[in-house]
Amino acid sequence: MGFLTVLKKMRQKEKEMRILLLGLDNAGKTTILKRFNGEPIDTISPTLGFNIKSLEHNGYTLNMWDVGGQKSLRSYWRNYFECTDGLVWVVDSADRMRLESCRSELEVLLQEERLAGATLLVLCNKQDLPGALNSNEIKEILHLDDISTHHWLVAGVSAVTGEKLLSSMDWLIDDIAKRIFTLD
Amino acid sequence: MEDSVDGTRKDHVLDRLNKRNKDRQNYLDVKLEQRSKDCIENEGVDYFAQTFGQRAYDIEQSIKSVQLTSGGDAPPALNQLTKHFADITMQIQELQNYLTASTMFLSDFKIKSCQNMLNSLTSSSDEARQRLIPKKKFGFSGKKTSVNVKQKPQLIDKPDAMEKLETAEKKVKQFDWTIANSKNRHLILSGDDVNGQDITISNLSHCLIELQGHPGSVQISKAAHCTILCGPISRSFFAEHLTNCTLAIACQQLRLHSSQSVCIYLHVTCRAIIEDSNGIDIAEYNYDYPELENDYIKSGLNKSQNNYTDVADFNWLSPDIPSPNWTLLKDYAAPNWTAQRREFLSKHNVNDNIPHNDNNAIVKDISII
Repeated sequence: MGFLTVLKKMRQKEKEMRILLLGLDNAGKTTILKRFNGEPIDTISPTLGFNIKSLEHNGYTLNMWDVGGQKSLRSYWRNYFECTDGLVWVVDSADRMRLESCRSELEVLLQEERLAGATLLVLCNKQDLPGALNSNEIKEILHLDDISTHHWLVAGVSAVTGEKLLSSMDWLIDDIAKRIFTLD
Repeated sequence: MEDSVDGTRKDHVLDRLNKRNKDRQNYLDVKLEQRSKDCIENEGVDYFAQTFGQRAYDIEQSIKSVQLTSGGDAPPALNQLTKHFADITMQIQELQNYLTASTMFLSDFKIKSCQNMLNSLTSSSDEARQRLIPKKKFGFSGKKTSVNVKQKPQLIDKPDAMEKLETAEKKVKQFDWTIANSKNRHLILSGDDVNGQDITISNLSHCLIELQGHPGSVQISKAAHCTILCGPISRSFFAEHLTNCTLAIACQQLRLHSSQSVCIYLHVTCRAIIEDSNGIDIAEYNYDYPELENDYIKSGLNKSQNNYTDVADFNWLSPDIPSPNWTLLKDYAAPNWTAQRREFLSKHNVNDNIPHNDNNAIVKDISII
């Protein structure tokens, strides 16, 4: 435990947070990450493995981990759970075909012991598409109201237009900051 | 004089001897330490193997005992079972933690074999759980039953809870496919039925589908012996459970899952990926219809950038050896879609007289073409 305590203290000093972006494939995790980081989003390919971005936001250093969502990569998600402060669950709001599997994957994640302390942000992505479900509908389909183990927020966003992306990320960061950095 | 010279020489020799002795002793100490360390490590390994084996055995026994008790005349209550399985999962997790903590002094082989043991324990526990506690079916049945159990208080507390749930349920069920459940049909969609739309296709066999326009995205689930020809898709093409199909697709991203024997004439500006698929042939896009050029511009696809030769297979992560699940067609005769269409029509002539009004898709009469 000694080493972990040292690590924690170091993280506190640097105001660092570790944020994990997960969701089914084609949900737009990489697009959200790139959009948030101000990079071009027109040349994104399906993620083989994962992307890491460290960026400064509101005086915090955010370590964003974006792990591919293909079926064969989902079993590797658990390798990234350790020390996660915030979990961003990205949903493709237009993909009605797979909302049920999206729900069950999220349910499994929330039972994970190592994510117990993490704040959950559900981003209903692709709100710019005509066929997209809104965040209230997704909230009901994913049974988000049943979650009592995590702080959570659901937001309808669009990575393409950037709609509401920043404000929901700010909520996530605030919520995490209240939890870890109050000791300072 | 001589005495002092002798004295210094003597001191020198003594110094040297002392130094040498010290060095030797240090060396011995280091050796000794090393040996005792090895010893401790060995003990650790033995101790680990014993504890790990014992705990794994215990877990296995408790899984077996659950299976035995539930096989009897009086199966235990559901919540009891759930609790039992939760315990088992906890134990497996603890064991996993123990293994992870011990990787420092274990050999690679040992770690791997222990991990395998853990995996098989997890899977057998899952299997037992699945058998004994039937999994929730598709949809919201699980949620529903829990609502029904607590129906009275819930209804008094917030009467709209059930209603809300039902609307959510309806939302998913109401979801209409653009084209679904068709056999031996030739369907052409064009104009506003395609442009900017999210096209969803499901459960087809022996069909020829043409989407002449620029859809926003296309999703296909379950198709067999079909030919699907499509104009430039602005974003992604997603398909699963295709067998013996031919596709002509231009898109930004292509994802193909759980499919066999599919031939794709492809234009992809980013990258195509396949997963759990095999027998996939890839060749260059050559679908053509009068509005194609225009649709390319409207879809925003870059016509000059085609990465169809670079397909990523998620089940084949070795970079050096090419995946056996897909091949790039070389020296093939480019298909003539007009001829294929004609052939399809003559083959399925009888079926074309069936009225095509059982879904939302606008189906053009074959005689127009």
